[in-house]
Amino acid sequence: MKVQLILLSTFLLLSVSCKEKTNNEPTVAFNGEKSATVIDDNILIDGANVLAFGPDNILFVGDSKGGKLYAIATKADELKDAVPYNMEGFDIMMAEKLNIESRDVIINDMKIHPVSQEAYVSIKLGHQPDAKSVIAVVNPATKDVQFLEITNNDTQSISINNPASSELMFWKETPASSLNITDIDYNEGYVYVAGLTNSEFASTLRKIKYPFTDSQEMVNSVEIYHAVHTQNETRAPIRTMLFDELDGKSTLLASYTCTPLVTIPTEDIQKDADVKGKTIAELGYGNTPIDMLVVTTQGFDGSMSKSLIVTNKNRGGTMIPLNSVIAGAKGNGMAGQRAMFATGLDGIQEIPTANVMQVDIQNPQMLGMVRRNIETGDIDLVSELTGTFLRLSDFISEYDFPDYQYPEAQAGTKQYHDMVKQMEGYADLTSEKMGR
Amino acid sequence: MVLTASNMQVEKPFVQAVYPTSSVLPENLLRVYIQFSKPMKTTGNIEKIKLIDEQGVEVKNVFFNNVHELWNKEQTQLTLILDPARVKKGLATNEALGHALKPNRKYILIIEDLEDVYHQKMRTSYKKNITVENADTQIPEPENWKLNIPEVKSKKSFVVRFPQILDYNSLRQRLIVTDIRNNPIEGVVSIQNQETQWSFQPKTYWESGDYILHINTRLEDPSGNNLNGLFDHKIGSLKYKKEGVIEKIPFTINP
Repeated sequence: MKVQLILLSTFLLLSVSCKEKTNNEPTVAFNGEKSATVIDDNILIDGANVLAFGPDNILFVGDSKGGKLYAIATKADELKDAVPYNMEGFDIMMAEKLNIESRDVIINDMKIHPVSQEAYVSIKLGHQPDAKSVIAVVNPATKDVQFLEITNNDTQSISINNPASSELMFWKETPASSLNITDIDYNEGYVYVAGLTNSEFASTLRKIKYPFTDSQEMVNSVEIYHAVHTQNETRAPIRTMLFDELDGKSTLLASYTCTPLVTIPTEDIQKDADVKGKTIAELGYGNTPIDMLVVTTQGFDGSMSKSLIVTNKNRGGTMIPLNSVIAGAKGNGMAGQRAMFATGLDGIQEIPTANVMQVDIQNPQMLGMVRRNIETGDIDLVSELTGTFLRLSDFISEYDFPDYQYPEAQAGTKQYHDMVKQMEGYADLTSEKMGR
Repeated sequence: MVLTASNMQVEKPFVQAVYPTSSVLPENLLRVYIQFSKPMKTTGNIEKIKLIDEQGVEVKNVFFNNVHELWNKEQTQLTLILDPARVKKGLATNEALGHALKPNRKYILIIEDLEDVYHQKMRTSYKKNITVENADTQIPEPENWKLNIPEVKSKKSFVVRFPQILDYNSLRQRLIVTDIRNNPIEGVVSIQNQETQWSFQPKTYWESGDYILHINTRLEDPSGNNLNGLFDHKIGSLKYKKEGVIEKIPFTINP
């Protein structure tokens, strides 16, 4: 099992901070009284649907309803250790802090600060159309929860509701249409904003210079072509995207609504361009992708390799060797295949990330994630090891019976279990503590 | 800001309309709008909307379950997209499963138990009967539209009739009347006859003169075909290179 090798190196890097489960000890500092019904205005933001970190600790926040993009300067102390999140019932914890019901805690996105490893979680406060949002900042080492202050000094914003430049100004007001920002990403001096309106099945893809200026560029159209022989193309709303160097060439990898995975050379994304994405894989029917990440995992021989992982709303996650993605980007694209499941590239694997609502890279060993716990119905903020993509404490197996003794041949498994138990907050259940 | 759930004793929500309003719909239908009487929760709703076939069996994997549901700003209108993977030619799922809606079959769309922002469920479930016809592979073509030009000094509506159903939201936002100098005329738009008729009633009396109906070529039918081309089109077959080009139909109100 690949798992064991990946974990040996992880073990050495894990800090001692992972002592106990935190769900019963909300040791959290809140910058206000817990019983208060009034939330400070300085932590409220009109809307925060999507988050992305940019250079110099800048957090970009996309607000669909307000049609705005914010850039908020964050302060961060570097955290070098790999300290996991084990916050079960995170939504209940947030509800208590905000003095609202947990069913009114609506988590829209989560990103991990690349320096401090803090989880930035955008939370909409209730279901009302005018409900505002806050951004919770959760520190894995101290378990401290703060709410990000939105001050004029540290915040810039830009309106992204401009119509396509080629259209007459009187189409600027489109009351029947609302833009849903589906993803934002920063790359080489620009923030890319992908969106979908409720009225037209077409992607909006904007390119906004950062630091913000008056100008923003919008492509004319994004179409996906999938066929060598049928050569059909379709207007395509991008659902989630990331930029990566594929064989030395900056490329936008995008997964769109109905799960084709496409590549678009970054240099093609220009003002008024007709952008053509090439379908290199399909990730299965009846599904929508949530997040995409490029992660590094360790193989049997100790070598490190990169993979693209895609988490899905309706399916388990998808993992594809990045080398396959590179080969796909160089090829003609796929077309005309009959398949209901993931297909198109070599080495596509399913990974156990069902119920993962949001995921981001926390540190070289771990992913931070917001998960729906299907047993309690609660929302948990937890970490998993990159490569295994699971939490041992989700499962009850033979190993968990009190009379189980690890044989000699299972020494590696024993070491892995002991390490992961500590990581997941069960230090009292290690083989040493259990006497086996 | 004070967060209190006041005014809990409010009327329970109900469905006011489902667009397209016609009960006969094409097999490549892409989009349905559900209009509610009041603001609704914007999460967890797609799972509560079902399509039942003639045998009473639920048709699975019909609606595209977006991560963020597509609501208007007021949270009163939900856009349902039929899984585009099954609508688009060339995609693996379409090749394997075909369209979710089969021609000459009947279905019932059932909408129930959705909650408003105060966690109150719909007062009754809503059912829409659907009979499916063959795929709509016609783009909207303005040369086939019929115009009804009002009399001068009246406040009668300027009416445009279409030979096919067009998209409700698209009709609300992609047509506009101006004078000859492109100044928009103020008035009220209404959509009638199962989205085959667009009417514009001016705020003030019509003056004699030349007017222009501007059509944004993004105007779509319920299958996502717009004036520029079919939703699913061959590479290079679009009418205009750019999306959003404006077509114009001039008309004159005689003295």
